[in-house]
Amino acid sequence: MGLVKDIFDTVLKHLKSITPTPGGVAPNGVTSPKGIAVSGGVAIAIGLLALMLVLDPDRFGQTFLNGMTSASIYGIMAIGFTLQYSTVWYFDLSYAAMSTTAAYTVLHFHSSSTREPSLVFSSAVGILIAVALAWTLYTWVYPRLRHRLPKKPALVIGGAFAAGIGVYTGVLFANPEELNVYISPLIGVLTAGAVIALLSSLVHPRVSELKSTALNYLFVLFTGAAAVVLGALAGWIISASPQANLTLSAALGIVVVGCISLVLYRGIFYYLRRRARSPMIMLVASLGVMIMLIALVVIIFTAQAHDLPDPLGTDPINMLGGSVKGFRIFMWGAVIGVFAIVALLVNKTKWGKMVRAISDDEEVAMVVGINTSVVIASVFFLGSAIFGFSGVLMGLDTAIRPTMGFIALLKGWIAATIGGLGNLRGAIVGALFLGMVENFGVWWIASDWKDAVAFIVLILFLLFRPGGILASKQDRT
Amino acid sequence: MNQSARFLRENIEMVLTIVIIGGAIAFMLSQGVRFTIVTGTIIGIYAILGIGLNLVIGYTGLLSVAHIGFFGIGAYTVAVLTTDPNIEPPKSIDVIPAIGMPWFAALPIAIVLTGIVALLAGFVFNRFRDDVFALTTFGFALIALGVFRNWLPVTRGPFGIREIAKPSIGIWDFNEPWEYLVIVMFFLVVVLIICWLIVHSSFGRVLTAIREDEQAIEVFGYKATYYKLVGWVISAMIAALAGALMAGLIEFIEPTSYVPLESILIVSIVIIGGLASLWGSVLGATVFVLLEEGMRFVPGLPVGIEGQARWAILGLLLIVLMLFRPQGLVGRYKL
Repeated sequence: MGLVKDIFDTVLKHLKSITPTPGGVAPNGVTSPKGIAVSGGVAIAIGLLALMLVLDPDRFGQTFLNGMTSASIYGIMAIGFTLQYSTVWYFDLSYAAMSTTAAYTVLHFHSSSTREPSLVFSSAVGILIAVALAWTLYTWVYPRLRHRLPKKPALVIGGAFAAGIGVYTGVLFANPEELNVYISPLIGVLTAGAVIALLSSLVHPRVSELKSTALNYLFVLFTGAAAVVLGALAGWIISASPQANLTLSAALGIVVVGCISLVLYRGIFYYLRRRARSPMIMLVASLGVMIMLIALVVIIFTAQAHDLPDPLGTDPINMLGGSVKGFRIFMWGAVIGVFAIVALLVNKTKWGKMVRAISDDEEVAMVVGINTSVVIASVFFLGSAIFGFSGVLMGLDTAIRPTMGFIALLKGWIAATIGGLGNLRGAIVGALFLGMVENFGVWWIASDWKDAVAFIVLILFLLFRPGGILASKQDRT
Repeated sequence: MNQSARFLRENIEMVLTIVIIGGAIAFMLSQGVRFTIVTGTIIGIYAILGIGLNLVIGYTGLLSVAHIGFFGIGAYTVAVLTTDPNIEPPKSIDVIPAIGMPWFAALPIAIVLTGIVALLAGFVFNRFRDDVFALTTFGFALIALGVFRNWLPVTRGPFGIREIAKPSIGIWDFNEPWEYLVIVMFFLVVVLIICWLIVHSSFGRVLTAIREDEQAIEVFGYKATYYKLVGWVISAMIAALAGALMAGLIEFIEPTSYVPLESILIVSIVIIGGLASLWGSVLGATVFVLLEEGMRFVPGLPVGIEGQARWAILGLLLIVLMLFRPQGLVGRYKL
């Protein structure tokens, strides 16, 4: 059989060398019919844009602002999608449910006046968090401590810790009104931990250089005092400010969807990836996850659209002849922030190196000693946290409905594809392009057609420039 | 190994078929004859749709989500062509032309029209494969929905069309539910025979070969593009037939029945029933319809969440199938 396949490959190679591939770009670039078509299309688009600007400059400005807003959501989605897709190389639809779930978590903490918080729901969330935490501890922390600690106490302490956090989360979800009160101990502990970590990593090396025991003791004393005071202060501030509830619930929602994703990865995708023959199996399985999670959300919260409060007020800011909500400007910043964080993580850290290694070749990465399942799990956590963040932003900006994540995920995928798949800068460029095309494309037709315009743009790109806007030369075939 | 366990493993497909069909018939009859007839009609229509879609998903190996669009085009064409001038539409909504064609005359037009649309769309989609194909066909479903919703002079947009005629031949009006069941079963058998012939012809074998290795079959001189296109168009025409039957059954259509997410339900008929198995699609449709109807009889389920509970179970079913039986209940090909 191997011989037959070799013959096929040789024949194919030969055929390819004499006939130009249908999807490729002719060597002489612009002078090919396809090149002429592309340049003509670009010229027509620029002409239409100029016409719109002349006809109605104010509406042009407003459309531009709307385009920026769409682009920021798509950009965050595209970054999350790129991170996930270029690590595991399959399209995971379950992320659509992640952004929905995060937005509905925020809703949960704001609709308690109309809806009795259910015990079953709270315990389910608590159990979920406990399982995710227990799994993380067992696979990530326990192997590193195994040789230093006795086995049984370590497992018992870890399990108890996970269970405790699970119960705590359940309590948080059971008392949505007093989120700030119940979460303040956690914030205090986290602040204290951050203070200790900061001081001991930044200041302690300088102090120990002096080789003075007294100073060392003084430093430890000072660190402890600072941690206690700052932690208590942070906890007190949080517990006294109910207006922080929105931010807190958003953060909680993001963590919760991250944990859901961890559990899903460990429970389903890990096994599927080991024996899947094609990306289609993963696509269908993630589709199953998505429709199941969305159905659960609808069962708990009903299918109708809900409103979330406006975090930055409703006063519009006038610019470029149009007006824009303050929160939308925050969204434009948020996409840059997410991009910066993910780019730093992927390009500058050891974790990023491991992710890139897995992206190149998972088996080789495993051979050189990378714990691939843990790294991929962390990618799932981070990716779904990004999707959760975008879902929260969408919910706060407009209204939330159960199906909002699905279309938005597809838009994120379109943005990533037309920008250049597997490329973070491409994700941003593609999102900006898609947001603008979508909003300017419906200038003369009903805005109902936005989604259709997005898909037509995608198909045009796939036909004429499959590598996307930022494709490198050899990717364009 | 245990004898009965081995028997079960070797004949799992037959056992599953008997269990599902037997369970379905027992359940339907326990709910009364009328319930059996209505449910059987719906199962028949979804089975036709599933069989057509199986040509693309199971035999050619392309996961198409566009078929809700073809289903809708078939339904809308029949609806628009058969609008009965005798039925007075409600006052406040748009007037659309009343053509008043008989159902059986509108059917071929709907099928041919859908075939033309599928041919045009197919020229584009033929270049893609795997997940890109799946997601771009979703775009087609979205565009079709946009047309149903916004082409007001013909489809009346979100208000839908209410004046759809029932099928009739000469003096025989198919007014009784059981008569409609007869029509649906007739078309189901016709579609089964056509698809069986396609699948077992050399054409069908080329489709299967494309699924396995497209480049290899091109080396042998077959133009894969052409075969894929023909399979795709036939499949779309069968979807249009199902849509026409659905329009005649419900006598009312509106765009919300054709939202792209419904497409996922149809795809799950094929995947649950079995890829590359015509009989599997019939089974899948049975499971699919009875899941919805059966939800109403689950004790302790709060009222109003049956539809969502069905989605949840469908999702769970897909996950479990992908984990343990990626070829579906009686399928021959693993996704």
